Amino acid sequence: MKLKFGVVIFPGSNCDYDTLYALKDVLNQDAIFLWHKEHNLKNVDCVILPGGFSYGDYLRSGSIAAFSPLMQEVKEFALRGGLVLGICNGFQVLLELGLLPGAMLRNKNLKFLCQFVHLRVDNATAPATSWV
Amino acid sequence: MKVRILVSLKDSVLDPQGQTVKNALHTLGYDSIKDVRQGKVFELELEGMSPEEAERVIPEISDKVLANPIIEKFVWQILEKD
Repeated sequence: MKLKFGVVIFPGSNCDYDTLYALKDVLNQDAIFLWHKEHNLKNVDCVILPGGFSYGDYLRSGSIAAFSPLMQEVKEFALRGGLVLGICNGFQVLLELGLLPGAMLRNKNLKFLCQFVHLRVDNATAPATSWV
Repeated sequence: MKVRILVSLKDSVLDPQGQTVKNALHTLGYDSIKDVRQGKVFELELEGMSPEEAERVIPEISDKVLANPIIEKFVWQILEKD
């Protein structure tokens, strides 16, 4: 079964094309772009917020994007049980939107951190984790 | 009317940017600087808004937009009255 994915583009998104490529050409799913000013999710099954620097990280990372018209639709979609995935800056948008709890802080030290970390699956019944 | 809003990290939240600025100041020999906290300043020009209305609207937009109330706090003042 094919799922229809919507990849949201904000000004400053830069992993939007990678995400669409991965969905269509690697995973062989249906995928379309959704522009942040739209008010319509075009019947997608899953919304993906890609990485990048929406609005140049102005104010706080992800904050301006969270106020965009499309994100109000995404919020309602998620609250109705719709599937939403935020990657990197997209994850920050979900925090600013209040769909996920908490906020992100700067690193305690001045190092750029890129390392393998252990992930714990807290909920193995979610659609994205049920195969784990 | 002109208002100024200061947004900064809550006292309980570590401020690595402020710490880094403090360390740079120490490097320059300003040893008596004990702590630095960094924040943001917004200056808003308001048209046709009464001070009473500003009392309601400024905290509202600060909480909703200018600051993230989970980690930040804000104070504000009127700079110029109409």
